[in-house]
Amino acid sequence: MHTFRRLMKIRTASAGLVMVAVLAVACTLLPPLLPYDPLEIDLHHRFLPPLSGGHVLGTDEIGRDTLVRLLAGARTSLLIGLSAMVLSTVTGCLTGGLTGFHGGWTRRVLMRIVDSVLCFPTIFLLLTLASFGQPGAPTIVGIVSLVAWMEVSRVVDGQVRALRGREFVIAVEAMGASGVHMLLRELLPNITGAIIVVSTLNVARAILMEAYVSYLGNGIQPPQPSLGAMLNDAQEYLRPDPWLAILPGLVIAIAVIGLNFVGDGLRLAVDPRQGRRA
Amino acid sequence: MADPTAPLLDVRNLTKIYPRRKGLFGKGDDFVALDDISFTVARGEVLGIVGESGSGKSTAGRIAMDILPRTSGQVLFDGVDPDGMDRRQRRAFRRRAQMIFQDPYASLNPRMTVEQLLRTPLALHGLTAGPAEDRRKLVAALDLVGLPETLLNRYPHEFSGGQRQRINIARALMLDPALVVADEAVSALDVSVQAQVVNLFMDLRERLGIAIVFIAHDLPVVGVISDRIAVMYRGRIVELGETVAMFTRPRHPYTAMLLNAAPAPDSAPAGPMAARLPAEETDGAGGCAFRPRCPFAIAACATGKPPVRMLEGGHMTACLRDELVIDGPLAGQSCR
Repeated sequence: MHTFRRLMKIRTASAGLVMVAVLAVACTLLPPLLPYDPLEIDLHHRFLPPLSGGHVLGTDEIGRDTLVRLLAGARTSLLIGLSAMVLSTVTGCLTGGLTGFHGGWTRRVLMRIVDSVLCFPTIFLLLTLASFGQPGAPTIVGIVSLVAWMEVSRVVDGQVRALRGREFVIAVEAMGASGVHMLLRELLPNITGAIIVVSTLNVARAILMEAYVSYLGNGIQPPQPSLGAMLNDAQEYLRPDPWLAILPGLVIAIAVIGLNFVGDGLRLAVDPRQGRRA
Repeated sequence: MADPTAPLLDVRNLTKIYPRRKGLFGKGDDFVALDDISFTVARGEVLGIVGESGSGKSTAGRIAMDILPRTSGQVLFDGVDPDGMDRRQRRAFRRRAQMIFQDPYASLNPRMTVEQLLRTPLALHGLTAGPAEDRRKLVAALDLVGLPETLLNRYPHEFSGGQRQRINIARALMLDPALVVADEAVSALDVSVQAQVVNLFMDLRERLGIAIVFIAHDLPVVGVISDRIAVMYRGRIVELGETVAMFTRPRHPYTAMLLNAAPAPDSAPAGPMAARLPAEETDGAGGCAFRPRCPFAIAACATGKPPVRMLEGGHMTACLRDELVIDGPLAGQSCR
């Protein structure tokens, strides 16, 4: 609770939280209240500009309501972001915890693998992986996690290693604590802050990655709405109907900027010592 | 179990060498942290270990607690070496021997309340006996170290250094230990708080009969609490003996220097003893390690490590010069 209060004192973080919350609430509660379906085609009302013909944000090239599609796309993005975050956090904590705690050869091997994979530009790695799988949400979650867990693993590994030699850990070791106890009860609770920060930023990254992949056609498949795919569709009509590109871009920006603000704010808020100084 | 007259802790010929390599293929240049040290701690006894930083005193304590591997030598706790203990013996060892660290803040998990901190040892050893009974134990332990039970829900950062060290001590007491190794347990505290915590240790020893290995760099503080004192210099024990005997007539010039380093209200300005060289690496290669700083060094001190000599009353010294008479702060007082 203290953490939350400190978080709200950071202006950017509270703004970010509001942005993400509004987006999340809107895309869960709003769609049932709107009279349109994201897949409903209406060829009589194509390219309606915003605030016309009963469509708040207008319609696209085949007359589908932009607002409903945006909300559905944002919902997919957020869900993919959250699932990828959970998957990568769990994997990253397990691997990073083990390597950081035991060190030795397991650590050297695993961290070298992580290093070498992180050498590849993420986008290309993502696209290569995506071309192997069945396009769709689960595949995106899988490949995004495949990239994101390494970041978590590295952070957890480093933190665990730094804390492993600290006196409070040695103190319980001298009392007869097992490795599992030290890792779960003493070490991980002390690095939740770092984990939460990386995880939050990972949600933002996952959303961005989903947009890339869908934009390039390997992600969410039409006619299902996706922010990235909507951007791609809008390309052809950029000159006459720019809002078709601006709106999905704006939603991606709101989600990613909001989450990054929250992540950066958390970095300060979770560490009580830093918070006091700030 | 073991013979009650046998020492509780018996450390024999302990050696710890840290291999150092220069560069990737460089030649080994070993750092000897402990050089063949031996000491015993009887049941209920307080043994002080003093020495400057880097003398190996903490290393000795940590090896005795089996949280640091040794190069060679033996540690016998109740006649059994922790290195060769089976699961059950090891569990008992971890319960009966407890350690208290220098930094009272760093040794408490900052995310746990006092209650959680004190419950941990009980949980680790399967000694929980229901919430009410456990709580009674926690309160009793806090009471022993002079803290009120209202603190149970507070976090370590809410306490002062002295209170934190009391919490550490309370935690060590949760398991009814026979031995407590206090590694610089009062060194990080203010002088007045130091006195309170030292008094607490003395009180606990008296009330609970716990044997204590009291490691510190401040000889006068160690002298207050210890029955016997081991003085360490560069990984060796240079003098070991009863506190009173050592304070009356130190048998090693280094001990004398430590005793005189403490300013007494009526003491004359320190003489040649205070002319200390910086503790640089020239450790009198081959001879006595203390030779470069010793005002009493003779030619023989440069040839070979001085052997440990046994004197009357179990007193030991690693100084060649038997005829040397240096007055300690208790010299001339009739408390022989």
